[in-house]
Amino acid sequence: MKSRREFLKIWGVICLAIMLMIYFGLKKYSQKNFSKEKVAEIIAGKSKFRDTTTNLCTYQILGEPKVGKNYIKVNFWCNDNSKARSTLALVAFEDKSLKGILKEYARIIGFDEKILKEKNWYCTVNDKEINQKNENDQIEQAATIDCFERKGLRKHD
Amino acid sequence: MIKKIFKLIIFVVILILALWVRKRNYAEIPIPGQSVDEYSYSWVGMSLIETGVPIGISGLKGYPNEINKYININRFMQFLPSDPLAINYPWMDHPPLLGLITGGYAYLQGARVFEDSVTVFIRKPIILISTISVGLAMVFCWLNFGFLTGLMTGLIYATAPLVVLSGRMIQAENAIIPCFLAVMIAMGQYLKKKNDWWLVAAGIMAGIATLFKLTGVVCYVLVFLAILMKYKKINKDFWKDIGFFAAVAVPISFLFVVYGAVYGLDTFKNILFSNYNRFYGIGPNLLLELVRNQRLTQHKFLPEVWIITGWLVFLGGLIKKPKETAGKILGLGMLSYLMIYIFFGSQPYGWYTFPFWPLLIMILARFLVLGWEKGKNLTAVFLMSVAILGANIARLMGIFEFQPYATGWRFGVSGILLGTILISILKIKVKFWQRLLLAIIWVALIYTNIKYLNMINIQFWWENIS
Repeated sequence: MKSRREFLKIWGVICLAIMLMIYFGLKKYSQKNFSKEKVAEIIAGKSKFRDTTTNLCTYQILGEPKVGKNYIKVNFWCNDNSKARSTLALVAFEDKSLKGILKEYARIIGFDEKILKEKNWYCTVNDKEINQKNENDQIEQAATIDCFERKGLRKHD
Repeated sequence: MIKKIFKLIIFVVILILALWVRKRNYAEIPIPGQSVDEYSYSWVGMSLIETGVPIGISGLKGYPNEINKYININRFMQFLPSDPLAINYPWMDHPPLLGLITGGYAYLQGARVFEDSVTVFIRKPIILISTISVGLAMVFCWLNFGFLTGLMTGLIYATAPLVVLSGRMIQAENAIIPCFLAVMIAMGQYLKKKNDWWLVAAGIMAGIATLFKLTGVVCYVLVFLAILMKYKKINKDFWKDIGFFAAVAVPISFLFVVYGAVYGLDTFKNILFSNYNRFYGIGPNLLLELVRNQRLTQHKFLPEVWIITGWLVFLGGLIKKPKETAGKILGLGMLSYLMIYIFFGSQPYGWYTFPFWPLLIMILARFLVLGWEKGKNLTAVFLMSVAILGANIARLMGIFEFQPYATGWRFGVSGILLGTILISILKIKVKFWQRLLLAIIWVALIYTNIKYLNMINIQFWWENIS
């Protein structure tokens, strides 16, 4: 290298240009593209690469969140004696209505929530039937939602 | 000329081998979700492209926005106990460069929401980066110690099982490693040739390393120590070199501050302090743990005999003190990262230790090749080689399956030991037979590495590693 000083002059100009480009470019880009709706979509949007299931007893969420009583249990019971049992932290649910909880659970597990109505799943919260009258009620802490593939099916171990 | 072409072909073959073993089952092993950082880095890059604001998993105090959400990507929550993920924005835990690489790649593949960034996409760039690291480690050794050490380093670094598995994980350390190795190469050349362009290269790579994670500052420490080693005192020339290096590197590192300023310097500062005050989980026994227990994540241990023997040789080398400049750079590299590891230490996540591994492997390879070339420390070279072979065999078969081979092992290993002791006492020259034996053992080592890697599938992982 002929002169370090000469090199650093050019280097300084290049770096300054990049810094200004990043600062103003990114600021403008984020102002143009950022919105709360976009954040919600990118975080909780459905994946086009993910398979959806029709067997609601195949998948569950493992683990017991350490959140005191701020949790809910969601259990699915199937005709073939299979089951899926999950305990979920309530803080992760924005819509805390019974309908909202089941919708979010369907998103997490990866099934179409319409299947519950189409296939006549019978759901209860703390052993009380969930129906059109109470589906908008807010869920209580430590509540248990049970969904049975058919009415009359019992919980099994 | 033909010799050179032949060496280049071998170099490329080792890189292909490195890529091949890294690519096999890369999306399944290590089990996705055992480190959610892998997703977080990619989400940061993806969200930066999509919304202009970095969004990722943190949970650190000081963020203005937090959303708790179950994101069951790769359905990992089916197999691993999972709490909701604490998602923060604007995410400032680390600089965004790694996220831009892995998340950017996922974006190019069509990923638009977090659940789209599955491991089959996001891990691809990192296995390529890990393969480049293998190449750089080879280049450093080839330039400074000769082709044979480069070859040995390449073969070990390409196939050591823990290193291969770690090289599939999206962790900033995997991106810091090639920068660190490039700085070592550049400094080795600068000290040899005194050409300023090598110092420029070191400065650029050191700056880039800090854009992956602040621990990339290890490159600064290494350059500082290497230049100090050159002048042996703090004089005018020392300051000239350091000043020139810093003038190249610091503006690149400063890009992280510029980036932070876009989203508010207050948040940037809060997260920086929050990061600094993290729980010191590596504890006071960190040095023992470094040598004794190798991990992939916080709780997934996979003790790796290559790394353990590397530590033993490094400690031996510290006592003896290397005489060659490149040997000193290797030692300084280890000590620099050790300082950074101790200073930045938080939870004992396995990935914090990844940057030690290429250096330890280079040190080990140099030691083994010196035994081959000059018959140096022959008993120790055989002992290390047999120790690694024994550990590799133990991974492949249980103690009962091994019994039919026990007699051969008894006679073989104790015979080799006796032989090497007699050779060194009586100064007998049996170079051909020494080399033949070493070559057989070393081929067996690489073979058993690959054989073990081939055994690791999801079932083996759950039964033997998790």
